[in-house]
Amino acid sequence: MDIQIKRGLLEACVLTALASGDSYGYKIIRDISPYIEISESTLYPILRRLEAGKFVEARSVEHNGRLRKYYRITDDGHRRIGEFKEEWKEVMRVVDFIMGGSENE
Amino acid sequence: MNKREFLNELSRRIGGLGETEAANILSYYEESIDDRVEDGMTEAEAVESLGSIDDIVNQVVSEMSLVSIVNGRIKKSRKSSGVWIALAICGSPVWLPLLLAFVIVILAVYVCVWAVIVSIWAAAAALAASCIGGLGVGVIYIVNAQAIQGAAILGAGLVCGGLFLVLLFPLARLCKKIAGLTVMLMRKVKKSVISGKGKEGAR
Repeated sequence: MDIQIKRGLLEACVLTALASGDSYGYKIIRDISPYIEISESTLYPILRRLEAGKFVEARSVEHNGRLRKYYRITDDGHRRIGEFKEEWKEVMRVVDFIMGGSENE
Repeated sequence: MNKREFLNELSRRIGGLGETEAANILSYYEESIDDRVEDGMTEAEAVESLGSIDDIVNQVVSEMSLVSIVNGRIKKSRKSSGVWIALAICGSPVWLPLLLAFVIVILAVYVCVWAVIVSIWAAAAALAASCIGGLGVGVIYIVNAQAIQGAAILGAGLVCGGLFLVLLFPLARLCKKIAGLTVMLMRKVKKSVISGKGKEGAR
């Protein structure tokens, strides 16, 4: 998959995973890996970017005597998901055209 | 590799990043390993599933610009007390030229690489121009009843055109490869800057 497209998709996947409740690194990976290939090393910069853009907030919570970083989606994050859906409606229209291209001839 | 070894190795490879950045990355991977172990993996399996340290460092590097990496490096150095700063100032006649030379070498490599690409395309353009010119001049000769010379020039033009067409795709591929090389070079430079045991770390 094209790296730019994948980056955008992954961001939306992470936000969507968080939309159903706060989560942490390993759980996010488990939740979205059935749909898209993701590893720890690709997730880290995505979380960093989302946090820097204020789309998610992070806080450390004690768990079994160690700290675990939980992420929560912000209002901006929810809005970002909405924008993503709008953008992709457009993309899907184009994709439909491309996919149907040879059959329409 | 167990968790400790993994974290030590990773810490060594990214030690040149700013302290907060390095600490963030290390605690992120430590948490990942702990979560996997809690999920039933052994420590070795958990470390294994994170992929190679080289990939991790590559990923970190590809997300940061060289400027922000160098900034982190400088901030890190600043923290190490006044003595270090005094030393840095006293040593500046030594390391300033070295740093300058380093920057110039990288710049020179870039210029060379782009010079190669430009000259490749100049050669290709020259072939195309010879083809068009040869055809034009050849036709003029033939029209002026100098058929033998005309045919020779026409032929030469066609040879140039053929060479141009044959070389076009390999040349385009070569240029792409060379451009890829500059990307690789940049990654190497970044990796050596963030590595904790770099030359600067040793000083």
